[in-house]
Amino acid sequence: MYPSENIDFFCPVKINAGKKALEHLPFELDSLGSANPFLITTREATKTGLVKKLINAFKDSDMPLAVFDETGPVSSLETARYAAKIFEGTGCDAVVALGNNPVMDTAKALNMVVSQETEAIEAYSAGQTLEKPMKPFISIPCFPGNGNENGPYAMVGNLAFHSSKLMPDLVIVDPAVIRFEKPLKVTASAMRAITCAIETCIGPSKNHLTEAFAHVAIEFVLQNLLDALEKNDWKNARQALSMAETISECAFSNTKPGMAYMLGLEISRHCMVPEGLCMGIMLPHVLDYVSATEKSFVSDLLLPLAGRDLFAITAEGLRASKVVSMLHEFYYLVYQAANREIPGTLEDTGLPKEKLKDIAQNVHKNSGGEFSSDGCLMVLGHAWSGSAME
Amino acid sequence: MYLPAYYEFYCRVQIVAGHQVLEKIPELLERLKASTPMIITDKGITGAGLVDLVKSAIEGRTKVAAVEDDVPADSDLLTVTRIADKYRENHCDAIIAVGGGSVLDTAKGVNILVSEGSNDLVKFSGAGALKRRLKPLIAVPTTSGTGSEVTLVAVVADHEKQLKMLFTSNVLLPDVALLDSRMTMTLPPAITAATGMDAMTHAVEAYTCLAKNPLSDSHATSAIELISKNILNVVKNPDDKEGRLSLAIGANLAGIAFSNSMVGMVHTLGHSVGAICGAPHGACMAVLLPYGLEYNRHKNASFTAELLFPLAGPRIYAKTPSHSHADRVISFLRQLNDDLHEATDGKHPRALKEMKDSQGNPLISKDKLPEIARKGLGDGTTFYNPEELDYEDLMMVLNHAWEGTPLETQEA
Repeated sequence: MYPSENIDFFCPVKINAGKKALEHLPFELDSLGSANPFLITTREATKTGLVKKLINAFKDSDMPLAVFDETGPVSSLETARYAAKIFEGTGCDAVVALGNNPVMDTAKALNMVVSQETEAIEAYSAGQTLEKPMKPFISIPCFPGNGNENGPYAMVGNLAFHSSKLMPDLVIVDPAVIRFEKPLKVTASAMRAITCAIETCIGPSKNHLTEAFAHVAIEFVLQNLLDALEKNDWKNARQALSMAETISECAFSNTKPGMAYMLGLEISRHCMVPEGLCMGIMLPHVLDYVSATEKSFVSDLLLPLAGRDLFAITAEGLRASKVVSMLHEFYYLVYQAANREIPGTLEDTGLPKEKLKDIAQNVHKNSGGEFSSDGCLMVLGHAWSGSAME
Repeated sequence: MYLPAYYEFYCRVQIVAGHQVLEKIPELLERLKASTPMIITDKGITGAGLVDLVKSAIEGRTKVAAVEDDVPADSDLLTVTRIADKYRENHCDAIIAVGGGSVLDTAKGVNILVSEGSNDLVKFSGAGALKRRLKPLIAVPTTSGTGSEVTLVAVVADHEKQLKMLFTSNVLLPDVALLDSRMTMTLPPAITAATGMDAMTHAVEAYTCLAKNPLSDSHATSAIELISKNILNVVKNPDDKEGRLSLAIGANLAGIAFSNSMVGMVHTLGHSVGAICGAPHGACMAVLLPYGLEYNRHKNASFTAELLFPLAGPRIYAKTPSHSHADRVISFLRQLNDDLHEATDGKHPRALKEMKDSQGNPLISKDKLPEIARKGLGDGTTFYNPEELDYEDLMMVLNHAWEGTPLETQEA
């Protein structure tokens, strides 16, 4: 039934989601053993009043909150070291990060500096393990983000870190920090989340635990992305997408990246389109390819995509093709709801066609040979021409 | 999808499952920076050879500094204090708990004392009194039922003062839950049935009671599917390794679901029957589950109805008219109890009057029902039940459950 019953699943993140989630901050910090938290964020968050909302959450507690809002548009080791000096100088004991990737990455670097008691954290990017316990870390992502804010990764300058110890103890998803952003960013973020979730369910790490997270993320994206692009009721829908990002990452951090994810990442390097959108364009084609060429679990995806009723009345042999057509249709509806401000096809991304071969080869190489060059090229070809597999 | 305005979800336990995962203990301990664990278990488990199985799986790689198997069925303060002393004398640095609910409660209690460097357990009782990380704890469940390998509570009785101390804290979550099919292979059919239905009840109540959320729901439906597909098969074919592992994973998912959503009146009555008549928890859950769904039916039939899919599979789901889904769930669970009754030669009860002790004497006499109902009203689980509970209603439910008659006529 499952590719492997050898489960090894780990999600250290607590999720607090919904209205007034921010209000629980002092309580949550206290239960993590913190009395003196350090907020790291951006100037923009201060200017737009987000920081004030956070400070208000501490009003009824006697807990102080140190605020550092000097994180720039890109993460840097210098900023992390500078913030660490202030953290230590003010006797802080926990990190609260509000924002997106540059903030989260810097916060993770700051946590490494203060918890490992060294400024030279480069070694941890070269594979050294984080020996000492990390300080409590609470993340408040501002949707739409990159999607991997709550994952085990950090990209600081040109240093890449990977450890489950970098994951936050708590993620707070509160509608109060949802901003209005253009359809391009919203869609990119949601498509990345659904790609990660869907590929979790067909990859070698598919198991009941990863799926319990992935299915929820898939349903959140499917039921909310179109609403999130309408101007009237975008806030609730974007709140749901923000949850989808967090939940999808919980599943994804337990799996290896899939073909649509890797192709999307690689395509994005060759054009000016965000990686999430490239993944979204590739996703139905990859599923079509996977279900046509190997014994796969694509048909099982009909349940989270279409719900119990449609799943139950669709014959087993037709489920996989229904999944593929539903995802094609979904992307097209999103394309229309986004006023065609996102690319509708691979060609629309502005990617030169002669790059397809390089992309296929790079994905083959970066996946350690898991995805064949020929297979990738075939999927890219179909995505380019908009045709289905035979 | 049901989406509450606010919810929380948390399970930081690393879950390792498979047919040969005991062998991973040394590397898991190493990751937790520990090397000399103490094994806490009970006499039944050492007798069944399961501790030897654990020891031989890690032989030569991890030195077990102490084994303690004198743990009573109801974990108590004196035992916890005694084992904490033994842990210190042997310079242990981690705990491997091999067993069911009581072993795990004891292990959690011991862990509080040895991590906090204290001999006074009372000081840490209640909610949120514990904040610091405890010593590494690996939980190896030997039944597929309680889900206590993923819960953040511990109950320890103080027999001298005649009270039960409750400990609730995120730090009580074990570091690792290790589900190895070999640990449940020798469970007798009746226990497999009762513990499996205990897990089923966790999942069903998690899905149908008041504190549900999308993540507890997805864990619950996955658990229901796994348990429903496997429980009868495993009871009939105890050597079914895959089925055993599926039940263990199902019970684990159910544990995660209910500890993030709470449970309702099936547990209200189950706790009370257990406390007053000494009836085994799992069998109580099995008998009472259909009644909880029937009683709450007019409040939450839509949630109950949704369970037909994971419980009975897509075929039966598609064939059943949607207005009958909730009733079909209830009749499906009754039928499952009947089938388990037959497959265990009558050992698995379908009604409270069928519950027997090891000598074959009835455990629950009808004149105890008023006392059971009164005690139930004081149980914390009443708070999360969809419908209000009062004495008359509980008596009505208990009378039916005792006889084994449904609360209302079934439609489907």
